[in-house]
Amino acid sequence: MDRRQFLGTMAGAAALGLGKISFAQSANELRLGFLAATSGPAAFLGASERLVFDLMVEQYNAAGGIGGRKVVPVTYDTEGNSTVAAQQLRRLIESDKVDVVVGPSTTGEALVLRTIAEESKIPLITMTGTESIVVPPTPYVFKTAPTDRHVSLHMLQFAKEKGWTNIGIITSADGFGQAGATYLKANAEKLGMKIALAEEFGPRDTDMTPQILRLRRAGIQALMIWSVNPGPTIILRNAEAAGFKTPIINSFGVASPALLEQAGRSAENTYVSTMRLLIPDLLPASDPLQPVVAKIAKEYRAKYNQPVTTFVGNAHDAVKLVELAVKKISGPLSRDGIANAIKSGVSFPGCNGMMAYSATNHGGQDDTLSPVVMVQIKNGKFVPA
Amino acid sequence: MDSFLQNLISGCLLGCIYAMAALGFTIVFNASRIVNFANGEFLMLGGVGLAGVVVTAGLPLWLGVILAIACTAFVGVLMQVAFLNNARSADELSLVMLTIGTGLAIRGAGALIFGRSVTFVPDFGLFPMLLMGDVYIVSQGIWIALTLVAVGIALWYLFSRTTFGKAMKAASQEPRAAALCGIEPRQAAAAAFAIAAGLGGLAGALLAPISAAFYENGVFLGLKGFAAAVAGGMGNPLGAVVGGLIIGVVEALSAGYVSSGYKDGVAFIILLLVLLFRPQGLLGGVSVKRV
Amino acid sequence: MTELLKFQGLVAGYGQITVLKNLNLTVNSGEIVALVGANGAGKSTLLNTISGILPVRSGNISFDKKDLKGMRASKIARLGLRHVPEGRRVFAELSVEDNLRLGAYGLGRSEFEAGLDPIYKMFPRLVERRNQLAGTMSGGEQQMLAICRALISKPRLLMLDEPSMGLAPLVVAEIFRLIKHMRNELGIGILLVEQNARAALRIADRACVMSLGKFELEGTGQQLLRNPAVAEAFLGGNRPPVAQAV
Repeated sequence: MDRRQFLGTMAGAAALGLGKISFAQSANELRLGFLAATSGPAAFLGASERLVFDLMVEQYNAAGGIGGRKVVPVTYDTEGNSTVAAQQLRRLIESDKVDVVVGPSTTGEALVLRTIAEESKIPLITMTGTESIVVPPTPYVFKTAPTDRHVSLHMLQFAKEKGWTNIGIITSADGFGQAGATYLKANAEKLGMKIALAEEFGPRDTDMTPQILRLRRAGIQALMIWSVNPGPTIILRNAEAAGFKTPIINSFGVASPALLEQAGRSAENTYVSTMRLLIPDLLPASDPLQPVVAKIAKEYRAKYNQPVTTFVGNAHDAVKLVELAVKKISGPLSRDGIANAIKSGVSFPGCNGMMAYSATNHGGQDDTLSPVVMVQIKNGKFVPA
Repeated sequence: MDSFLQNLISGCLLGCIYAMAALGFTIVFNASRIVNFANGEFLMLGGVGLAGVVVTAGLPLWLGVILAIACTAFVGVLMQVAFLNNARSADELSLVMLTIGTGLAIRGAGALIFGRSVTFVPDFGLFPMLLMGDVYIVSQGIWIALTLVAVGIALWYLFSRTTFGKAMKAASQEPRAAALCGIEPRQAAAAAFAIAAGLGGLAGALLAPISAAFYENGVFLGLKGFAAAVAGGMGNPLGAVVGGLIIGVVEALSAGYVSSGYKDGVAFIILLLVLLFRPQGLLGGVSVKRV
Repeated sequence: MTELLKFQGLVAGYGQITVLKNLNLTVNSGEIVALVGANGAGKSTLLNTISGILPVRSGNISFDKKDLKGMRASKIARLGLRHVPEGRRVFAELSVEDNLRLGAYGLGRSEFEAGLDPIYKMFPRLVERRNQLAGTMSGGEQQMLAICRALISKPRLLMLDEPSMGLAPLVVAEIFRLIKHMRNELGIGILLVEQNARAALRIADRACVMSLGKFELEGTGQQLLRNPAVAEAFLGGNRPPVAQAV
């Protein structure tokens, strides 16, 4: 094959390729991108999100697609690295020509991808719980997870109902813990409660006995912990050893069965503010979200034969949002069309709350129902508090 | 008063772990005149190794501890024999850089082999929790304190009573003269790495039930151990123990009475003050050269 | 007299520089061979090469019929070929007795203790200072200790590098008495590098004059003492160095 022939063949192949893409675009299908860390340190989030994404796409296609449109998934692993995530979002936009992207699941990646999504005008439904991603709202970016504001408010309201108004908090000295401390303090003030003592600890600290002793001296009625493990487990153990009897309320940072395993006896009788998916089988029938949570948990466990995580809800609600937005569109699909459909109002009961997306609410949750519930650990199990 | 005592105990126990990390720095420094910045990773490896063997593989705890120490010691020897011995440049600064690189590699390998999860290992048990009025020492704390005592005695015996220990000292002071006496300086250095790493593995294993085993733990444990070794006097084993205890206690007291947010800062302020006013360390040692 | 150390065509050096150029020598048991020469002639380099600190580039070298080429210094020392390096190099932060113990490294405790007695008899001062740190002793005492540290392992060949350097005349005399004693009473072969050429040649059975990495002259100690060129170059003459005179 000489040079000219070779180039000719290449051109032909390129033409064919283009033809194929334009054919695909014109056909009745939804090209759905998914970006999350399924490996690396953030894989504990991304792995189960990816599984539920695959599950739902399979279900749609088995039922003839969304509103008659076949769902074509394109998924990439970001490894939790925002540079990788940015490259892959560009790939989804430019090469894979997706209509909408679900992901990512960490705040760091979401902050980077938000800019790209706005520039490229592609709807991005992140699975993060960071309020600043969607407040103030920007035209193409949405989120599904409950925010620190929701959870802190829920913890404080729970305490207030119990009559505990003199509160101590202990938070990790990292981004997650600092945000938690800020929201707890601000919301306590709104609710007329008092934060008597705010303690911190390093995310890699090994002993929080001094902080526990200070909190014991402070005469508080309840202690709120805001951190991811191992800190909260160490605090629970130190508290048990020190005979710290004050009620303890943990944030959603530890809402997983791993807490029961790691903290064991020392977690007994403590509380955790969590997404409903931690206890899909124990929700009261009166809970408006019970049907959707129980359904996805059942399907997930049946397909993958492993316990469901609370993060499943983040991806479930994101895909559900895409489904309802796409169903509102009668003509050809476009990125702008999907973004506008969401902004024109999409409401549904999700795993993470009563979702009510609108032009002003890009975060999802409405204010009528808390996206999280309180559970207590009794006999080594999570039960509704 | 009770909470002061409790803070003191809490600090001492943490200090025991720092002391073991500091001893690792000291032993390697005495044998090869380099500061091994991978030392913290030995503690990490002991913890995640124990967690992997006991929690994941389900082997008995005592066997897990032995395996954790042995594997970590092996990694230490490997590091000395494979990297430091074969380094093209014997310049101290480049060897220290090499230890930093090896530390990163160990951390990566730890994450790869044992995973990135945070794992608590069961208590070693045997001792009940000690209660004196409102003051208590947790069972694992008794293990930690007794282990430091035993390690201290064993090291003292090794370095001042056995010929091999003296040969290690000699090989670090005068490597050529030691070789001319029939001592193999590389063997002595490898032994020092084995001891330092095994000790790190032991400390990491002791810590795993109290705080969790996690592949990123090596960094802060290494820094605290280094601070303790320098504060006590680099190269002085007793100084390493005293330095570790001081940093542990000061951290606990500053968390208990000043502000928990500043306790790490307080530890490093001590280090800075010591370096400013007593560069040879509290108990004396080799003063740290400016590099 | 048995042949102990033998090398032929020995070449060695540091990095790019070749210091030793094709040297041949034999040292037997019970004899003192002295190496004299100007600074930088390669005398210490030769000792370092024999004891395995520096690698042999080419040539043959054997001790007691065992090939030393490529052998590590620590292993050569254990064969009974001991090198007392320039500047004494005692283990300053260890006690006198520990220094001696490490001299007998690799030997059993009983062998060490058996070796200790005669040394303490010879040098009662070391007994007094057995628990003192070696670094705190005087230069002469440190030199004695360095020699004893080698001697305690019962070597068959001893290489001494500048044992009299920086020491008072009385101490120097004592060291030379010790060297003769080791040859006469213990039958040790001795390869002696000395700045003090006259003293060295006086006690030497044989001697070599070394210059720029080569042996310029060889002979008995007495022959070289009488050689005018040697006398001028090393024994207080004022003519140019021996290399030009020969």
